[in-house]
Amino acid sequence: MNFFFGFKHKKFNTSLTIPKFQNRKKKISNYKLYQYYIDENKWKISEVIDSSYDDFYLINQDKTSNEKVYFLADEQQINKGSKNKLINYNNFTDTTPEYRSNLQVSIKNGGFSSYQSDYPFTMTNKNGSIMSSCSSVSNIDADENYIIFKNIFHLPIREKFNIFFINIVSKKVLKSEVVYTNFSNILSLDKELINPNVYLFSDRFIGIPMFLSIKNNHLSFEHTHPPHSFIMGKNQFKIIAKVKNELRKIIN
Amino acid sequence: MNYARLLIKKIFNTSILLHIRNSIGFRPSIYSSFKNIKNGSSISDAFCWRTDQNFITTFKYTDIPKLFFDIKNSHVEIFIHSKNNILLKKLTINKLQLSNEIIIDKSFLDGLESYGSFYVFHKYKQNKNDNDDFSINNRCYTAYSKNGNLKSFVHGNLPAFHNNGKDEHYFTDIVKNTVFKNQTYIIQNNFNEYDKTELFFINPTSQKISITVNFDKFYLDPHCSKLLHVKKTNKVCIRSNSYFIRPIVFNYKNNYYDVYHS
Repeated sequence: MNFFFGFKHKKFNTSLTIPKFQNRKKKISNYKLYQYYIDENKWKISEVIDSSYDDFYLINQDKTSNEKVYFLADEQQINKGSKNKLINYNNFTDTTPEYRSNLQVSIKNGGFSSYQSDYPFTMTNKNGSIMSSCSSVSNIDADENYIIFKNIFHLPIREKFNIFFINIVSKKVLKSEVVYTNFSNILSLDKELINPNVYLFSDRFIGIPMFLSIKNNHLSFEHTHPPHSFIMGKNQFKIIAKVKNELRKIIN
Repeated sequence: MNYARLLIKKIFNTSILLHIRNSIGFRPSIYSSFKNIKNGSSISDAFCWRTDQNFITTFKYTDIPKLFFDIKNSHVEIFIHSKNNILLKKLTINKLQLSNEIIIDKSFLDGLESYGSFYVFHKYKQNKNDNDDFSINNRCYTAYSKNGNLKSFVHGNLPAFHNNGKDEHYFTDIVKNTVFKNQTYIIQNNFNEYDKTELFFINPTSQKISITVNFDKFYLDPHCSKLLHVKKTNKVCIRSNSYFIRPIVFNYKNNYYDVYHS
């Protein structure tokens, strides 16, 4: 099952378009759109009303938030839900290629940029670290650069953890930022950090790093690949773990 | 009854029936296969370049052998092809930095205003103490700038070729095709709000493929590419005889544009 998410910021608008159909089949599903959010340390679920049009659900700027996550299910499945942890309700969005929503960022009277996004349920059960280049999909000549770091964790907690910006050649921590679980964390990315040797590294929790650049009202918005995308072989995760351990030594 | 069901399942999954199922597109077990890729290989996605309509293409890539294995002195080969799969340029890039960039514009291609595909291979020697069985997979990042405006980034998403690192033979057909044109792929976005949409297709296989996009039908020869302008629509439905036809999408609204993989 996949979750979908948006984010909210005063400087730009976002919208989330979630298809009602699988990418290899024309049939429209009967599933409804639901949202999870944390309330008094419990997961609350509610149906997202007035968001349906044509073959899509639309979460526009007014409805979007940094806390909510969205998914497709039916009432029967929802009644089996839990307030204490996220549940994998169904396999409707377990498709190849991945079942995706379109997450779009835009500026009023300006440009727009999007990427096909999803957050697999399997990621929500994991603790760990992620690493990502800060320069691969950033624009050093942009007016503004941001990182949107999204974490979805299976327990209804909003826990602080850190993101570090590490120069992996000099082996120095250049900056650290506090971010939160179950939140779309929006960080400004300084130009000094848009450097081929600088990598973002999260401690304790994983997530998806997305990079947004703005110049003259034009936007670029894309996420980086996780490091295991670049290695194939039976020990790919062991290889990645070794590299992450080296980064962990630098931050400790 | 259970025994009969198990027996049918076993027969259904024998290698000959699997091969038939995958060939005709009936309940396939795989859409792509990396099983022929040997230790020490380099795999490349199919990346697209554009110099038409005032576009400039930038490709940013990491020295992957250095980053993950501390392998020094590797180099990269980049093959740039026309839309008809004619080799336009081969680059050999030594003295890699951790992060590298090439810019493909009209002057780089001797004034050519067109589009096509390119492939990137890492040539490296594994360290003697490397017991791990691994290959490098280049899925790095292209960016498209139109009229000198901000580059819009998109990552690689279509495996196309691999090289075993020992010779100059490049193997293909990681993505599988079917005999019949029975594969459907519907892009999961609503295209209603855009003034214009272009879809950039690359055939990542050695076979000719037939593609229909809504009502537009065309063929793509092996490793050729096509930039298709899509008439105003809500949905884009792609039918083909290939399991993995996922175009790069260019959306335009007013003076702005966006690029992403479908």
